[in-house]
Amino acid sequence: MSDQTNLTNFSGDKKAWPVYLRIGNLPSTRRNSPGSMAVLLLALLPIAPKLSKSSKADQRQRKINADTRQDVFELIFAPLQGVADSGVTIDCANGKVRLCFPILSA
Amino acid sequence: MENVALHGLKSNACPKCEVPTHELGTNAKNYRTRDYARYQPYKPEIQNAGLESDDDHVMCDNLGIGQNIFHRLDRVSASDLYKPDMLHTIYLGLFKHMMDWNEGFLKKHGRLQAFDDVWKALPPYPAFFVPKKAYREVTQWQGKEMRNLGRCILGVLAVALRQPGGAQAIPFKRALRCVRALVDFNMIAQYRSHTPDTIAYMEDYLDQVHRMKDIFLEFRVTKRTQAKVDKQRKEIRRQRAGIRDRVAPSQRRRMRDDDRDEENELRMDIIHDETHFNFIKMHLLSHFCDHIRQFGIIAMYSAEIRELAHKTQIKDGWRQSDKNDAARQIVHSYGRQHAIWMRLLNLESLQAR
Repeated sequence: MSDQTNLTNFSGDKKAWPVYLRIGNLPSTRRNSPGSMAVLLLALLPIAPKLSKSSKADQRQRKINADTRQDVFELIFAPLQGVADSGVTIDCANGKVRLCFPILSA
Repeated sequence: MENVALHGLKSNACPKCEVPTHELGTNAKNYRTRDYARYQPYKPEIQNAGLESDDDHVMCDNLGIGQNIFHRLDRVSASDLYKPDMLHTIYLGLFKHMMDWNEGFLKKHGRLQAFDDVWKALPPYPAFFVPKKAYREVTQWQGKEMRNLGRCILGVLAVALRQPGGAQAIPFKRALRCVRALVDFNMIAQYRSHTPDTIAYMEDYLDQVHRMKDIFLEFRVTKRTQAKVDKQRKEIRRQRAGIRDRVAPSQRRRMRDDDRDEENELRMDIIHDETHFNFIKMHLLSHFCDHIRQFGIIAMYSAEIRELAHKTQIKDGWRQSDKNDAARQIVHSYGRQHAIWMRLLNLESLQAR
């Protein structure tokens, strides 16, 4: 049994860039049905204002934005890293206890 | 869009494999998958450390190896993170492009009016949304409408292109086959289960699209190419005007016909040189089949469901907020709602027991 965390990001409009969390182990019909509460809002990513392509200052700003995004994701994934290393024990429906590892998907 | 930012790509670079930009429009499949560990020495910030420039380096430059947020995480294979997305690649991507080409094609052959007439005359049918306006009158298309379009476009086009004149027969046939292959590909991609046979069909249809797409090449002309064509034509005309004055009127007419043929030929040459199908959505289709083999049906990970979640989770939250530090309010407001819904579901299941 693997725990597939289905992480999807989408920049819908300019105001919000949500990160959603879905559990990949759920059957797809359930996971993708609108009323099933299977999609969990995890975070809203910071969005930088629009930048021009050429200017030097904007290039630097772009780099800063990318770094910020990276940091945010490191924050989000921090709890997963330890678990990915050593796994976590989860009770199984048939009474056994299983060692599980999260697998990230997009 | 989000893939470009998150994977640190250049635009027009594939998130899965190392395909170069000028081959996006071909059906090339044999490129290595992206391997971010290998790119490490070529990253821009390390570049200045005195690494020699070689082929790999140039390749990496073209791929746009930026910061990929995911590549350092454990148990994550960054190149597999991209999942095919029916909504943006097919419905709002290729179907939209295809309709642009079709419009040009119909215009060239004077069938645009016929197309609109048939389009508006579509009869109602269960689970089918009847279009009220002609295609050109609609300014904004939604994914659902485009999916609907995929169902009827082939029939409409076949009717609009019926009874071709002598020289039109072959282009019409080719155009129909290209559209048909694309529509078939889309239909099979929507299947809820697959066998090796259906996947083979998909690959076959994709091949057909790529073989037949050239019929639409002249309708992918960019403004720059068009300007170049116009400029060249003007130049030729100016040169000829000088010659023509010295020729007898009886010969002039024949010369004009010859000139026109030559002009057309030159125009097609330029178009063939400059125009291409190298855009990313054309390439992404080639990953669909492998994705099905690896991860199962496409609808499982498609973008529609996330877009749906925007409405309840983000936009409603935004509306309820006071627009001041809204992000925090959106997250909290949905968190509360979600908790209550979960509670309700739990109670319901307890009651059912």
